[in-house]
Amino acid sequence: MASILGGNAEEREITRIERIGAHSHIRGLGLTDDLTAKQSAQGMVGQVKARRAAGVVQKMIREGKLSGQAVLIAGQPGTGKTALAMALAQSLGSDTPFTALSASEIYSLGLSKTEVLTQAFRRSIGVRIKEETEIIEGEVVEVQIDRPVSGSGPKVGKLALKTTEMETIYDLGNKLIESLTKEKVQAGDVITIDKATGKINKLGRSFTRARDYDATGPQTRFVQCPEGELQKRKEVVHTVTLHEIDVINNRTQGFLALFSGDTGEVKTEVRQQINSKVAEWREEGKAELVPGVLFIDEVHMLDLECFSWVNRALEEELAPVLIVATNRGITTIRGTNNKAPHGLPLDLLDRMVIIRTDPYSQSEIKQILKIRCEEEDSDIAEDALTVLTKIGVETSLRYSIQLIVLASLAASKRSSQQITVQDVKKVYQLFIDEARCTQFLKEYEDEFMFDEGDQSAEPTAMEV
Amino acid sequence: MAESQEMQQLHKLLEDLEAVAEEVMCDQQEIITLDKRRNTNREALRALKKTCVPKHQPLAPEECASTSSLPSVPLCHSAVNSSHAWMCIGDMFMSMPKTFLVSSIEKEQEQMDKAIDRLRDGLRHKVDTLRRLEGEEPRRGALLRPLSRDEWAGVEKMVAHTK
Repeated sequence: MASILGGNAEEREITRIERIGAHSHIRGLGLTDDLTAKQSAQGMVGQVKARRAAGVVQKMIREGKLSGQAVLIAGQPGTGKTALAMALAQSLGSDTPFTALSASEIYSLGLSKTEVLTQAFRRSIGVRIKEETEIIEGEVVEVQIDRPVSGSGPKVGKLALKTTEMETIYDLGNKLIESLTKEKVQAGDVITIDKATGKINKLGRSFTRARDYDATGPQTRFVQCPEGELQKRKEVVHTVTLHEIDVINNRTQGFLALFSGDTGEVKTEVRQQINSKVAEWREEGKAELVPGVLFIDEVHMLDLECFSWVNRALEEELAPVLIVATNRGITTIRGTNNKAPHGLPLDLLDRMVIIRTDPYSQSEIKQILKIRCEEEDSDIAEDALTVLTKIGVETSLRYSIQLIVLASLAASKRSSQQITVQDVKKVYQLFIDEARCTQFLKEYEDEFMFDEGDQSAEPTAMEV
Repeated sequence: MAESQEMQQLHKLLEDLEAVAEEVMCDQQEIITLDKRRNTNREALRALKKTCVPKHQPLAPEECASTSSLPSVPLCHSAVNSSHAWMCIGDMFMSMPKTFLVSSIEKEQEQMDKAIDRLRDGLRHKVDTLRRLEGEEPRRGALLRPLSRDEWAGVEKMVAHTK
């Protein structure tokens, strides 16, 4: 649950409140170096085969070998398909672009289906570029600014900077004096000066000057005196996605486009221009492409148009790794009357590497519930966990996970720290699961409004 | 015998590792020394240019003292307007024309800039080799060439957004 630390009203720092999502306990695939899956590691439990397969996929993505291919994760509901995708995203690290999309998101009024898909594809391709700046970095030993007696006219000043190795004096121009005064630079500050732009950046105060004052504000950051040479070369590698470049260049008003969101289609010409520019940079060794991962959940919600678009898009030069997940068996492909496995056209299915997830065993369910309890900061008694596991086996894993929060609330109402069997029983009676809900409806369906009796009459007519 | 071969391999690896590490450290030290020199040279140039303009006051004596310990740093003469300045080479002080001093220091600065750039470019590859030998992953994008200033100006907004 969300926790807010430090309730002091004067404190300005904001503690990040993290919502505990359904998969927030997952930190990685939980594999050893040789890609064997541990039974329970990094929040992943069981699914050893699927995780091993995902590990191979991850390794191939890392080496850039899998771009333009698709992976299908198929399995019954509640067997950890999304968890597997999340784990894959986590283990790839923040440097690899990962876009998660639910297939229903493509049906928007503002954008065409293919535009949404194109944007998602381009959001999953990163471009790595490098920024190089010459900076002067040092601890200020002394600032000396002489103002002319008349009050106006050019000022003269000197700035003494040092690192652990050397010390030097700079004569200051008018502009630099101004920015020094603006930044309130004083002796003991560690600053950087951008050589090309003259921009001054205060990094903090030097540790050696930590005892200069008795009271310091909470914002004061203490840093070590810089080492080495004064004039350094700073290299920063950035990864931006193609979509971000698109958005910036699509609008004349530049950065405003970022705030207005991603509404509006990106012109094809803009995309082509950007593709050629990126190709040019690659040729000159100025940019690297990082094929990322696009994850489409509930992929059976895409229709035939989208599938054929995906088919073609995967063959293009700039294509990310496509990972799709579905819980459907043999069902109709949306937009047609044909049935196909997983609701995917056979030609697309043929291009995919398929990973299967299996239902969890009882002991695995117990382990997952235990991890979830830890994640949600709820202490649970051993017998209560056993009961919860039993509920999980008989109903569904999702239902029993939901019961954890409810039971912990019930426990805190009793002002108890620990969830006991009694709490679990109480919430089990208060909130019914899907099976009991169905049963209830079957028994009393006549008494509900708009009852149509037998629903199986013609469900296909509703499609399309 | 197999073990001794393994030992040899290990030996070789460690040897290579040490050699590269040594080189990296040497280069880093070299850059520091060069930068130190570059900074004192810059100070000297500034001092020389100041004394050329008559309305400025002569430099304070301690400032001369602080730079005089290094070779090829000109010492300003007390007579501000004189066309000569003292230069310290090794143990000797020589009076030289200022124009000559300025041009020779500027030439040295240029050479030093080049030398530092060369060292830095070399360091990039050496650090990469070092990381490989240590079994770490290479730094991502380390061997990319930087974008030019104009190109960067266009990209900057985007990067600020992604941060």
